[in-house]
Amino acid sequence: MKNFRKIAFGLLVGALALGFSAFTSTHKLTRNTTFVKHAGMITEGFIAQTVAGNEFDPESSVDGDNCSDATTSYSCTYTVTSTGASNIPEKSSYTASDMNSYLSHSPAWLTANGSANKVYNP
Amino acid sequence: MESAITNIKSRFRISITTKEKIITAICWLCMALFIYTAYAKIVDHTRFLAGLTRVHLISGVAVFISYAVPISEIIVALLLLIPQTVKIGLYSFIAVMSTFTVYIISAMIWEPHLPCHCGGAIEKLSWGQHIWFNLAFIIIAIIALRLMQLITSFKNLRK
Repeated sequence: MKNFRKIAFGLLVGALALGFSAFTSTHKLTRNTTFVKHAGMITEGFIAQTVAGNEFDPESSVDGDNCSDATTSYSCTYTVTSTGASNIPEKSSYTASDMNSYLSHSPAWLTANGSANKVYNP
Repeated sequence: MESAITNIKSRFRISITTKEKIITAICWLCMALFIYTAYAKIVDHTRFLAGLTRVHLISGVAVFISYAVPISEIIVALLLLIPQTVKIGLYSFIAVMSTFTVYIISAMIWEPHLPCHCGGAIEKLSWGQHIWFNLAFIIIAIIALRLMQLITSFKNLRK
Protein backbone atom coordinates (compact mmCIF):
# COMPACT_ATOMS: atom_id res chain seq x y z
CA MET A 1 0.00 0.00 0.00
CA LYS A 2 2.85 2.34 0.95
CA ASN A 3 4.64 1.52 -2.29
CA PHE A 4 1.47 2.02 -4.30
CA ARG A 5 1.02 5.47 -2.77
CA LYS A 6 4.65 6.32 -3.49
CA ILE A 7 4.29 5.32 -7.15
CA ALA A 8 1.02 7.25 -7.45
CA PHE A 9 2.62 10.42 -6.07
CA GLY A 10 5.67 9.84 -8.24
CA LEU A 11 3.45 9.62 -11.30
CA LEU A 12 1.80 12.87 -10.24
CA VAL A 13 5.20 14.57 -10.00
CA GLY A 14 6.10 13.15 -13.42
CA ALA A 15 2.87 14.45 -14.91
CA LEU A 16 3.55 17.89 -13.45
CA ALA A 17 7.05 17.87 -14.96
CA LEU A 18 5.60 16.84 -18.32
CA GLY A 19 3.01 19.60 -18.19
CA PHE A 20 5.61 22.17 -17.21
CA SER A 21 7.89 20.99 -20.03
CA ALA A 22 5.07 21.41 -22.54
CA PHE A 23 4.88 25.07 -21.48
CA THR A 24 8.57 25.93 -21.53
CA SER A 25 9.46 23.97 -24.67
CA THR A 26 7.27 26.24 -26.78
CA HIS A 27 9.33 28.67 -28.83
CA LYS A 28 8.54 32.32 -28.47
CA LEU A 29 8.94 33.01 -32.16
CA THR A 30 8.39 30.16 -34.56
CA ARG A 31 7.83 30.98 -38.14
CA ASN A 32 6.40 28.08 -40.04
CA THR A 33 7.79 27.51 -43.47
CA THR A 34 5.58 26.19 -46.19
CA PHE A 35 8.18 25.71 -48.90
CA VAL A 36 8.54 22.47 -50.80
CA LYS A 37 11.61 20.49 -49.71
CA HIS A 38 13.85 19.13 -52.45
CA ALA A 39 16.30 16.26 -52.02
CA GLY A 40 19.73 17.55 -51.00
CA MET A 41 18.36 21.04 -50.37
CA ILE A 42 18.04 22.87 -47.04
CA THR A 43 15.34 21.39 -44.83
CA GLU A 44 15.34 24.08 -42.13
CA GLY A 45 13.40 27.32 -42.42
CA PHE A 46 16.07 29.62 -41.03
CA ILE A 47 19.81 30.29 -41.06
CA ALA A 48 21.27 31.93 -37.94
CA GLN A 49 24.64 33.63 -37.48
CA THR A 50 26.14 31.64 -34.60
CA VAL A 51 29.74 32.91 -34.82
CA ALA A 52 30.12 36.57 -35.87
CA GLY A 53 30.88 36.65 -39.62
CA ASN A 54 32.22 33.12 -39.51
CA GLU A 55 29.57 30.48 -39.03
CA PHE A 56 25.91 30.34 -40.03
CA ASP A 57 23.81 27.38 -38.94
CA PRO A 58 20.45 26.12 -40.21
CA GLU A 59 17.65 26.28 -37.62
CA SER A 60 14.13 24.88 -37.62
CA SER A 61 12.93 27.80 -35.50
CA VAL A 62 14.46 30.99 -34.12
CA ASP A 63 13.91 33.10 -31.03
CA GLY A 64 14.53 36.85 -31.31
CA ASP A 65 15.51 36.95 -27.62
CA ASN A 66 18.62 34.90 -28.41
CA CYS A 67 20.23 37.65 -30.52
CA SER A 68 23.05 39.64 -28.94
CA ASP A 69 25.14 42.56 -30.21
CA ALA A 70 28.35 41.77 -32.09
CA THR A 71 30.77 43.30 -34.58
CA THR A 72 29.45 41.88 -37.81
CA SER A 73 27.67 43.04 -40.93
CA TYR A 74 25.24 40.13 -40.99
CA SER A 75 21.81 39.81 -39.41
CA CYS A 76 21.16 37.53 -36.47
CA THR A 77 18.77 35.26 -38.40
CA TYR A 78 17.57 34.85 -41.97
CA THR A 79 14.37 33.24 -43.20
CA VAL A 80 14.84 30.87 -46.13
CA THR A 81 12.46 31.86 -48.95
CA SER A 82 10.75 29.27 -51.18
CA THR A 83 13.33 30.04 -53.91
CA GLY A 84 16.12 29.63 -51.35
CA ALA A 85 14.68 26.28 -50.24
CA SER A 86 15.04 25.00 -53.81
CA ASN A 87 18.59 26.30 -54.22
CA ILE A 88 20.44 26.33 -50.89
CA PRO A 89 22.17 22.98 -50.32
CA GLU A 90 21.72 21.07 -47.07
CA LYS A 91 24.81 21.65 -44.89
CA SER A 92 25.53 21.46 -41.18
CA SER A 93 26.85 25.05 -41.33
CA TYR A 94 27.49 27.80 -43.89
CA THR A 95 30.44 30.16 -44.33
CA ALA A 96 30.37 33.92 -44.91
CA SER A 97 31.11 33.41 -48.62
CA ASP A 98 28.17 30.96 -48.86
CA MET A 99 25.95 33.59 -47.26
CA ASN A 100 27.21 36.37 -49.55
CA SER A 101 26.37 34.18 -52.52
CA TYR A 102 22.88 33.31 -51.23
CA LEU A 103 22.13 36.93 -50.32
CA SER A 104 23.12 38.23 -53.76
CA HIS A 105 20.37 36.41 -55.67
CA SER A 106 17.20 37.87 -57.04
CA PRO A 107 14.51 36.83 -56.26
CA ALA A 108 15.88 36.59 -52.73
CA TRP A 109 16.98 33.24 -51.31
CA LEU A 110 17.14 34.65 -47.81
CA THR A 111 15.38 37.52 -46.05
CA ALA A 112 17.01 39.12 -43.01
CA ASN A 113 15.06 39.16 -39.73
CA GLY A 114 15.67 42.35 -37.78
CA SER A 115 18.75 44.54 -37.85
CA ALA A 116 22.35 43.60 -38.58
CA ASN A 117 25.24 43.30 -36.10
CA LYS A 118 23.73 40.54 -34.05
CA VAL A 119 24.80 36.99 -33.23
CA TYR A 120 22.46 34.11 -32.45
CA ASN A 121 23.10 32.22 -29.19
CA PRO A 122 20.73 29.26 -29.10
CA MET B 1 31.06 17.63 28.51
CA GLU B 2 30.60 14.29 26.78
CA SER B 3 26.89 14.26 27.58
CA ALA B 4 26.56 17.78 26.17
CA ILE B 5 28.09 16.61 22.87
CA THR B 6 25.76 13.60 22.84
CA ASN B 7 22.79 15.93 23.43
CA ILE B 8 23.80 18.13 20.52
CA LYS B 9 24.31 15.05 18.32
CA SER B 10 20.90 13.63 19.21
CA ARG B 11 19.26 17.00 18.58
CA PHE B 12 20.57 17.01 14.99
CA ARG B 13 19.91 13.31 14.39
CA ILE B 14 17.31 12.77 11.69
CA SER B 15 14.68 10.10 12.23
CA ILE B 16 14.37 7.21 9.75
CA THR B 17 10.98 8.50 8.58
CA THR B 18 12.47 11.92 7.80
CA LYS B 19 15.38 10.28 6.00
CA GLU B 20 12.96 8.25 3.88
CA LYS B 21 10.97 11.38 3.09
CA ILE B 22 14.16 13.20 2.03
CA ILE B 23 15.14 10.25 -0.20
CA THR B 24 11.68 10.19 -1.82
CA ALA B 25 11.76 13.96 -2.39
CA ILE B 26 15.22 13.75 -4.00
CA CYS B 27 14.08 10.86 -6.21
CA TRP B 28 11.02 12.78 -7.37
CA LEU B 29 13.11 15.87 -8.05
CA CYS B 30 15.60 13.88 -10.15
CA MET B 31 12.77 12.07 -11.92
CA ALA B 32 10.97 15.35 -12.68
CA LEU B 33 14.18 16.80 -14.15
CA PHE B 34 14.67 13.85 -16.50
CA ILE B 35 11.00 13.70 -17.56
CA TYR B 36 11.07 17.46 -18.18
CA THR B 37 14.19 17.37 -20.36
CA ALA B 38 13.32 14.09 -22.14
CA TYR B 39 9.93 15.46 -23.17
CA ALA B 40 11.52 18.63 -24.60
CA LYS B 41 14.04 16.53 -26.57
CA ILE B 42 11.39 14.20 -27.98
CA VAL B 43 8.89 16.92 -28.91
CA ASP B 44 11.55 18.95 -30.79
CA HIS B 45 13.75 16.05 -31.87
CA THR B 46 14.78 17.65 -35.19
CA ARG B 47 16.15 20.68 -33.39
CA PHE B 48 17.92 18.52 -30.79
CA LEU B 49 19.53 16.43 -33.53
CA ALA B 50 20.55 19.54 -35.49
CA GLY B 51 22.23 20.91 -32.34
CA LEU B 52 24.15 17.68 -31.73
CA THR B 53 25.28 17.55 -35.37
CA ARG B 54 26.92 20.94 -34.92
CA VAL B 55 29.12 19.71 -32.03
CA HIS B 56 32.20 18.32 -33.76
CA LEU B 57 33.08 16.06 -30.83
CA ILE B 58 29.95 13.93 -31.28
CA SER B 59 28.70 14.79 -34.80
CA GLY B 60 29.54 11.24 -36.01
CA VAL B 61 27.17 9.61 -33.54
CA ALA B 62 24.67 12.47 -33.29
CA VAL B 63 21.71 10.40 -34.53
CA PHE B 64 22.38 7.62 -32.02
CA ILE B 65 22.83 10.11 -29.15
CA SER B 66 19.68 12.00 -30.13
CA TYR B 67 17.66 8.83 -29.42
CA ALA B 68 19.82 7.34 -26.66
CA VAL B 69 19.74 10.41 -24.39
CA PRO B 70 15.94 10.84 -24.06
CA ILE B 71 15.42 7.04 -23.88
CA SER B 72 17.99 6.66 -21.08
CA GLU B 73 16.44 9.66 -19.27
CA ILE B 74 13.01 7.98 -19.38
CA ILE B 75 14.47 4.65 -18.18
CA VAL B 76 16.25 6.35 -15.25
CA ALA B 77 13.05 8.27 -14.39
CA LEU B 78 11.11 4.96 -14.30
CA LEU B 79 13.80 3.38 -12.08
CA LEU B 80 13.48 6.33 -9.69
CA LEU B 81 9.70 5.99 -9.66
CA ILE B 82 9.55 2.32 -8.62
CA PRO B 83 10.51 1.96 -4.89
CA GLN B 84 12.31 -1.39 -5.46
CA THR B 85 14.64 0.12 -8.09
CA VAL B 86 15.30 3.50 -6.45
CA LYS B 87 18.90 2.62 -5.51
CA ILE B 88 19.87 1.51 -9.01
CA GLY B 89 17.96 4.54 -10.34
CA LEU B 90 20.04 6.92 -8.22
CA TYR B 91 23.27 5.25 -9.36
CA SER B 92 22.13 5.51 -13.00
CA PHE B 93 21.10 9.14 -12.45
CA ILE B 94 24.56 9.98 -11.10
CA ALA B 95 26.20 8.14 -14.02
CA VAL B 96 24.08 9.93 -16.66
CA MET B 97 24.50 13.37 -15.05
CA SER B 98 28.26 12.82 -14.69
CA THR B 99 28.44 11.90 -18.39
CA PHE B 100 26.58 15.12 -19.30
CA THR B 101 28.92 17.15 -17.08
CA VAL B 102 32.06 15.57 -18.60
CA TYR B 103 30.61 16.27 -22.07
CA ILE B 104 29.93 19.92 -21.18
CA ILE B 105 33.42 20.40 -19.76
CA SER B 106 35.11 18.79 -22.80
CA ALA B 107 32.87 20.78 -25.18
CA MET B 108 33.81 23.99 -23.33
CA ILE B 109 37.48 23.13 -23.81
CA TRP B 110 37.48 21.93 -27.41
CA GLU B 111 34.41 23.37 -29.12
CA PRO B 112 34.59 26.89 -30.61
CA HIS B 113 30.80 27.23 -30.67
CA LEU B 114 28.55 25.63 -28.08
CA PRO B 115 24.93 25.01 -28.97
CA CYS B 116 22.75 23.85 -26.04
CA HIS B 117 19.72 21.73 -26.81
CA CYS B 118 19.21 20.36 -23.32
CA GLY B 119 15.49 20.99 -23.42
CA GLY B 120 13.07 23.49 -21.93
CA ALA B 121 14.05 26.31 -19.61
CA ILE B 122 17.44 24.68 -18.83
CA GLU B 123 18.64 25.90 -22.24
CA LYS B 124 18.64 29.45 -20.85
CA LEU B 125 21.52 28.58 -18.49
CA SER B 126 25.06 29.49 -19.48
CA TRP B 127 27.54 26.62 -19.77
CA GLY B 128 29.16 27.50 -16.44
CA GLN B 129 25.77 27.60 -14.73
CA HIS B 130 24.96 24.30 -16.42
CA ILE B 131 27.95 22.61 -14.79
CA TRP B 132 26.94 23.91 -11.33
CA PHE B 133 23.35 22.84 -11.97
CA ASN B 134 24.47 19.30 -12.86
CA LEU B 135 26.87 19.13 -9.89
CA ALA B 136 24.08 20.19 -7.51
CA PHE B 137 21.88 17.34 -8.77
CA ILE B 138 24.76 14.86 -8.55
CA ILE B 139 25.40 15.93 -4.94
CA ILE B 140 21.76 15.58 -3.86
CA ALA B 141 21.62 12.12 -5.51
CA ILE B 142 24.76 11.13 -3.54
CA ILE B 143 23.10 12.46 -0.35
CA ALA B 144 20.05 10.26 -1.07
CA LEU B 145 22.28 7.21 -1.55
CA ARG B 146 24.17 7.97 1.68
CA LEU B 147 20.87 8.27 3.57
CA MET B 148 19.78 4.92 2.13
CA GLN B 149 23.02 3.34 3.36
CA LEU B 150 22.46 4.82 6.84
CA ILE B 151 18.92 3.42 6.97
CA THR B 152 20.14 -0.03 5.85
CA SER B 153 22.96 -0.12 8.42
CA PHE B 154 20.58 1.06 11.18
CA LYS B 155 18.08 -1.67 10.29
CA ASN B 156 20.89 -4.27 10.27
CA LEU B 157 22.02 -3.13 13.72
CA ARG B 158 18.51 -3.54 15.13
CA LYS B 159 18.30 -7.16 13.86
